[in-house]
Amino acid sequence: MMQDWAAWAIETAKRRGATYADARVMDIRQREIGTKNGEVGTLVESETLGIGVRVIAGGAWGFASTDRLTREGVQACAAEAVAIAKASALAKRADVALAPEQPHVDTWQNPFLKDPFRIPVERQIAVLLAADKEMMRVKGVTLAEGSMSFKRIDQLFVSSIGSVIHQVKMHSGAGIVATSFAGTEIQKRSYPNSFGGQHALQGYELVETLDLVGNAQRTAEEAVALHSAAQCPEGTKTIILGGSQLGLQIHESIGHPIELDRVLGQEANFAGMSFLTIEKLRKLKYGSDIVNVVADARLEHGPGLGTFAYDDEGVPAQCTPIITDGLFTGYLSNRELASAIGETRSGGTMRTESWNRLPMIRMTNISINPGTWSYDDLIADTDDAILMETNRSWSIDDRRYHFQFSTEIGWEVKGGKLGRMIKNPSYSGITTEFWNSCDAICSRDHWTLWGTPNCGKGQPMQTMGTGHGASPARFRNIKVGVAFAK
Amino acid sequence: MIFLLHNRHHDSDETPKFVPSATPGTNFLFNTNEQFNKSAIAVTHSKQTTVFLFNTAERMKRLNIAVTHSKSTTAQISIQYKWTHRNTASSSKKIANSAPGIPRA
Repeated sequence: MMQDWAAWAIETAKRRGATYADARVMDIRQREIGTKNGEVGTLVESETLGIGVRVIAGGAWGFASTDRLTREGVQACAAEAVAIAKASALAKRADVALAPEQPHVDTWQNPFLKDPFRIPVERQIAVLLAADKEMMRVKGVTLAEGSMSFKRIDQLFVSSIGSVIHQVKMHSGAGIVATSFAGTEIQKRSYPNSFGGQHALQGYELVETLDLVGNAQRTAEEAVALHSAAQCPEGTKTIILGGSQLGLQIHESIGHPIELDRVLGQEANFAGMSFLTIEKLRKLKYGSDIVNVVADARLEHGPGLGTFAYDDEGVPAQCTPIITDGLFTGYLSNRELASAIGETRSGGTMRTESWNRLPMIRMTNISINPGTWSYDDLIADTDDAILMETNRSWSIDDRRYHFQFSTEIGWEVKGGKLGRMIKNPSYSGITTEFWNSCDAICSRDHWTLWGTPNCGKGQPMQTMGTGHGASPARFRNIKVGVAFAK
Repeated sequence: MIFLLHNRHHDSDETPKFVPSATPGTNFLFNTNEQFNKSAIAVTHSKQTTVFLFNTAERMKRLNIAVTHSKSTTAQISIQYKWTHRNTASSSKKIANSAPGIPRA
């Protein structure tokens, strides 16, 4: 049926005058489970199925979508997309021109071991409640929370250049949070990461390897211990960022600025534009010589939320060097905008949240390549620093240049050794100054491909999962402690 | 014409082709939709060798450093989904892939 719906859409669009058309049939199944203080707080299972049709007619884009999956419904949808394109053409500045792409006929599914939708909900809830119980055992814990989320995206892409691509992607994620209230202060610890834990293009085996129950007590004890920890000092210091925090740092200060639609002003609503104007390409010293960042959607990069075989324009997954030995070398592009930066082919980064949304340029797996340091050697080599772990908040301006982050926990590093716990750690900086201050990156033994499931973009807003591989890294002369300064 | 045509690039006016499988009878690893059995969409690769660039093996440090999800999976498995399409109006509820209440990054 999927290919019938897509074929009806393409045929109708062409008959109505479209010079290009593509159709995405998407069947998305989702399960969300949340527990709070021994009770189930969220239990949602949903499925949505429909088709989105994108066309070029009269030199302009048109888009329409429907979940009325009869021949009449799909044809009406495609006709509407063409009508919208022709109306848009009345106000176009120039004809839309697409970079060439081969037609692809393929089927792909990401590897996974255990289908999370075949695991009984009761069993999944039991894991979260067991972790909840372990956290609540710790005196001082006020709130224990756990969550799991699973998503299966079954999609067929068909385009008028002859592509027919069927992909199935399975996302899994889970995490726990212990929160401790004391007086007027709230402290919390999350495992393995904040804002929903770890997420990956994997099955239920991801949840099993996280060992939420086994890590619950330590997570809770740290939340309580933070109340009696020393306050993060204010000043200029060396910092070491844990891998997950560095992942979000990459997301906000590299991933968003390199979105070419944001650079060129097509997308500015949700989070502004970008300081990375195109004359900076291959000229700007983005980071220090040891900083190498890639945008890699290929499976061999790892099971990230930005991993796929083809993007939502039918372009194969690629690895694009974004920062090479510190030099800014690449943007995230699509078929329409690749020529703006002198590229002859799209970088393959277009994705859509659902059948009823237009594809946009989205981060794939934006990862910093591992360095050479062992973690122990990095600590031993550091005389005076603060180690910051697990994001607590983020803020960055609408050009992605000035930022401030806080983390859940910190640790003093003195004389090459880890010292006392630090509460309310925070740091701020300017994107290029920050990345140029990086002088040590841990090796691949410490590298993890973190999943960020909550990347927001567009209007209407779309939420997309992105991947960020990172290992702990050291940065010099960073302003710390401003966020919580008295 | 909008397209930038070049070698082997299909003309946009060409009817999309559903190419029959090059190897009929292949036992595919994945059969994710029963209806798909009837399709003639070609499968160009049914088995993919996965070699991750980096070893994301877990390093459980005492101080919660780089605590991760650990093992990467290198094996593919066969999963049979036995559901069928229900031709009823599906929910138009917006699907977001993160829990409600989590701010957007």
